[in-house]
Formats: sequence, C-alpha cells, structure tokens
Amino acid sequence: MSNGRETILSNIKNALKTASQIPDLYNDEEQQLTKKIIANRPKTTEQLWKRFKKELQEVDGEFELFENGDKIAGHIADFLKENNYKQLSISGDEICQQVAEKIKAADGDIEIVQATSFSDEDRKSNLATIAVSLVAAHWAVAETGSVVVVYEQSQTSYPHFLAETVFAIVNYEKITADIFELFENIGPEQAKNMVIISGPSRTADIEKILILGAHGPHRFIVTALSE
Amino acid sequence: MKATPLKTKKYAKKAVKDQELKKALLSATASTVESRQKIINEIPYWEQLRQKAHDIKKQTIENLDKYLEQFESNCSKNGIQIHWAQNSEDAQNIILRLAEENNVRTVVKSKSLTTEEIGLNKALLDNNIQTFETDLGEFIVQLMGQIPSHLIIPALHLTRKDIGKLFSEKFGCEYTEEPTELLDIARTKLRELFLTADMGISGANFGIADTGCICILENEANAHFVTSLPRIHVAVMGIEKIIPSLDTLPYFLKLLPTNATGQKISTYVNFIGEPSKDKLSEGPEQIHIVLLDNGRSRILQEPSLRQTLFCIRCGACLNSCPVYQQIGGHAYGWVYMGPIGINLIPLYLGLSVGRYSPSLCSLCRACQEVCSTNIDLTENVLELRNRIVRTGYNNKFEQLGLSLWAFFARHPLLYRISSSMPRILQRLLPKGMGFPAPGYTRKRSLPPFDKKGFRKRFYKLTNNKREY
Repeated sequence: MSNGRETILSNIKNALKTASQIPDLYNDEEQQLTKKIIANRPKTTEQLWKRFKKELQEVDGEFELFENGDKIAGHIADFLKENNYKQLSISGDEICQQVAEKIKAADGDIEIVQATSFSDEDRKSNLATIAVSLVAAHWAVAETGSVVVVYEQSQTSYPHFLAETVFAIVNYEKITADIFELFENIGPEQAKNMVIISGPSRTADIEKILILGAHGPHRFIVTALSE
Repeated sequence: MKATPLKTKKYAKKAVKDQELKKALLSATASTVESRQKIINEIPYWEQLRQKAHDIKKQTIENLDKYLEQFESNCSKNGIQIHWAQNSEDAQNIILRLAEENNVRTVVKSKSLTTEEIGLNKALLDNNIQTFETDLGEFIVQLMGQIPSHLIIPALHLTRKDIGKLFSEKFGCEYTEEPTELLDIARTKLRELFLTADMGISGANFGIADTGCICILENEANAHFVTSLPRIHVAVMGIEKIIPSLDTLPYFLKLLPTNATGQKISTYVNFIGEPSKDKLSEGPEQIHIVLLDNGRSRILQEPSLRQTLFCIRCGACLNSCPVYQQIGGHAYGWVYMGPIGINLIPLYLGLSVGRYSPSLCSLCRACQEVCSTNIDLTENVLELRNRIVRTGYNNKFEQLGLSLWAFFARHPLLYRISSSMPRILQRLLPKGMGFPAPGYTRKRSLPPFDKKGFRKRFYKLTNNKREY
C-alpha cells in the first residue's frame, strides 16, 4: 500500500502549495484564554472535591469520601452483603489488593477475583460474570466529575467496564481542576492506554430517553481516600 | 462524466410530509440545543475556545502532510500498523485482507461515520464476515436495513414502538416498548458478541500526531469493548482527524461533547496508542489504523473550501438548522447530512451527484454560530452553488428565469414597466385574490400585490421627490 501513501502525501503537498484564504480567528498573544481558564478554577483541594462531587452526581455517578482503606473496605463489604453478591473482581493496583484483603477479612464469604491472575480468554469470560468490581483511578477531574484510569498501572481494563457496579478508589491529592490541568499531568506514555470515565455508561438512543447501563456499568461509585 | 444526482428533492418532499418524523426531530434537536446552551452558559470563554479550535485545525490542515507523517512514525514506534487508503475501495480491500489473513469470521463495530462513508458493512457481509454494529442506535438502524438519520443520534427518526416491533420480529421476543427493556435485549445480544468477536472496527475522533495514539469519545462503553476485547482492532480514520499534540486535545474534549450531546464530557474518552496484549496480557494483539483520503486531499486543493476539513463531526450544525429540523437526515441521501452534509456531499461525491444538496440551506448562518471550529459553512454553500451553476448542473428553467431577471435588472425602464405588470394584471382576477404560484399556493394563497407598489410607497416614506 506504499503507493497509496505516496499518492496521498503528494496530493496533499501539491494542494498546500496554494495559500489558504482562511483567516486566523484568535489572537493568543496575551494568553487571555489560558487566563480565563485558570480564573474559572476552584482554589482549594476541598473546593475541587466539592465541585467533583456535584459534577459526578449530575452524570448519575456516586461519591463517598473516606478517611482510610478500612472504611472503604467496610463500605464495599456492606454493599456486597446487602445486595447478596459473593464475588468482587479487582484490578492490579496495589491499593485495590490492600482494600480487597480488608473486605475479605470483614466478610470471609466474599471471593476476591484478581483480574490479572487469568490469561486473556479466561480473563474476559470470567470477569463478565462478576457483577461488582473494585478498581483504582489515578486522577480525578473536578470540572467534569471524571476519573482517569491509566491501564499500565491497573494492568487491566476489563474490571472497569465488564462489571454492573464499579467502585473506583482515588487518592484525595490526585485531583485536577479541569481537563486542561489534567493534561499538564499526563505524559505521552500514559496517554497510550488510558480512559477518562465520567459516571455510569448511558444511552439516549431511544427517543432521547436517558437509560443508564448501556453496555458498561449501571453504577459508578467513586471513593476518595483522604489518608 | 455526468453521474446520476442524489434524489434530494424526492427524499425531502417525502420527509416533509412525515409528521411523526417532524415531531421526533423537533423534540430531539430542541432538547440537545437546550442542554448545550446550559453548559455553554457556564463557560465564560466559549467563543474563544471555538476560535482557538478553528486556529488549531487551520494550522494542522495547512501542514497536514507533516502531521500525518509524524503520526505514522509515532504509531509505528508504538507497534500500530498504518495503512493508507486513497478511496473507499482501497479501505475495504485493506480491511478484507486483514480479516482474511487473521481468519476473522465475526466483526463488532462501534459508531463510525467514516466506515459508513466507505460502505464497509456491505463489503464485509458480502465476504461472509458477520458484522454487527454495537452502538444502540446504530444496532437498531442496521437491523432496520437503514442508514443513520443523525450524526450523533442514529435512530432519531424511529419511535420506541418501531423499535419494539423490530426487536420482536428479529429476535422473536415478546413485544415491549419500554426503553430499558429494549436496551436489555440489545445489551444481552451484544455482550455475547463482544466476548467472542475476532475483530473490532472503530472510527477515531482524533489522531494525535506527537503521541501516535487515537482518541475515541463515547457514552455506552461499546467502543471500549470493540477496541479492547477482540484480538484485532482496526480504526478507520479520515486524514483530517489529525491534531498536532496531546496538549491541543483538551480544547476539543470540551467542544465536542458540549456541542454534540450537551454533555460537559463524554462518559468515556478512550485513548488507544499501542496493542495491549504484550503489556497487559489482554486485548488486541494487533492495532491497524486505516488513514482514509477519499476526496479529502481534493478538498485541500480548494483554498476557499479547505475549512470544511476542520469539522470534528459534533453535529451541532444539524441541531441548529431549520432545514434539517424539517426533513431529517435521510432526505440528504448520503451518510453526511445537515449543513456539514450539504458541503461534504458535492465535495466528496462530485458536483454532478451532489448538485441539489447545497439547495437544502436557508442561508440563515445558524450553523456557523454553533460550529465547534467556526467553519463558515454558509459561505461555502454559496461558493458550491456558484460552481454548480457555472458547471451547468443547475435547473435549466431556474437558469432561464434568472437570466430573464438579470436582463430586466440591467434595463431600469423595462424593469419598472415589467414589475408593475402583476399589479395591473391582477385587476383581471376576482377581488381579493392573488396570483397562483407553483408549489406555494397549493395549500395557501398568495396575497394580492399592493395597489400602489413598493417604489411609490418607498419614495413617499423617504420623502424623496424622485419619480418612481
């Protein structure tokens, strides 16, 4: 297909010999846009989390702030018990393993399924049958109520999408004001395999009626860990 | 060569008569416009954001060859294979060859206008490869044997009753028109396919040159499944979807969801920049990106129309367009529709095929006011209309009428005499009755001309003593 490549590039190069008649619209010499973006940001971490909670709830996500891993574990263990779930899948993040051990300690009946312990075929078929997952998120974005998952750190993407209910743990300090600030912290290596998640999956394809849980999770619960 | 034009008039006439369609269109476009406006009200720098995006796209498109080469080089370093397709046939052949080489029997697809543009589903099905759209709206439209009627909401023209009946017929399940139950039916069918498909085919919202990765925005999570569960992932991307760098992406991540669906951000923004099999022991072993030209480099040759390539397919122009609101997407006769469609159709398919498309515009400029990248679509429409006339593809009666008008307009005395004729001749009609006008007076009447006439009134109003 190298011919296609050479022809397309040659066509483009020839076309671009003719100057454009399209004017520039924005003069950024004074960096007004950047200034306005920064001016619009909450100032403190507390304000950022307040904004995060509001935005996440607006997109039907849920938020809880916990002092430590024990409390998160207790919260998830209660949820599993109340809903009669016996299995919990977890990503490869260390924090998930630590919290999972505590959940197991709180309720010995719960089976913790480590996603990375399976080969690929087994991994997707097994995780597709588990209703609840626990994953780590590596950043939060206040302006949109989003969390960012870098798969290289999680060592998997399956528990984030295949479960009906997803709990995502994020460190209290790892919050950015907006999508612009997020990308000041994300490097090209991380951007090769990652996702920004904002609430549970959704569709409005039938008469514009919003339904949660389209193909992915019905519930998306972010738990911030302040310790 | 004179190709057969799209039957735009026929489709539009049919659509205008469909009251259910009109109701669905008005309701859907109004709610998206409202949600969009609510978000924009919270962004004090919205206009500057659009201007910035315009300039980024301009800079990219005017250096497109360099960015494409950079993108290719970085993708290759990341283990992604790049293929170049000059046209639809090339793109189909590349994908069919990949399918054959990898013994692919089943394909799952996420929503992609670019794959619609190249007629990929038909090519795959013709080669006995089972192909399933997985976006709920696309899935419904595929089952119906139709094409999408909106860039973002593919099944906008269908009611829940239509969908309930369709599912009942196709799957033999009990009829329901409850949206959550309809979704459950589709979800169950598709979940199984996600887990077993050999190849996933997606589009790409953005290709990031300095990183060598693509970015896909979605709400349902189907695009994630399509790109992460099958062993091969193929993304079909128009060459204009390139952006220079990761730090230019946030501008578009704010503009696209706000304008497309009235969301601050899409539920999932997926970044794909390497086959995950080696690193994560899961997901695709191979990622292929098909860079599609299919007429785009031809548009580049037109400096005045080049900005059409700035489009990020947000669909905001459709929602704001008074013509689209009346006729919907199918009336345009191709995969692209609305104000952007009437620009793209003659440019991609040729002036001969798309000769009627630029007529579907009232020149109100509502589209430009909402466009994510500030494309002057109306100016482009005027330019395209001009070209259609110059190449002789316009209606001959219309041309004759305008030539006559031009003749009289160049001769003021004749113009004055002829323009007073209707006023004089209407005295022959019964009192209060206006002239019949083709089309217009079928369902309403044309009011009689004023007895004094415009010129007389105008000069009186302006106290101008000149003879009228």
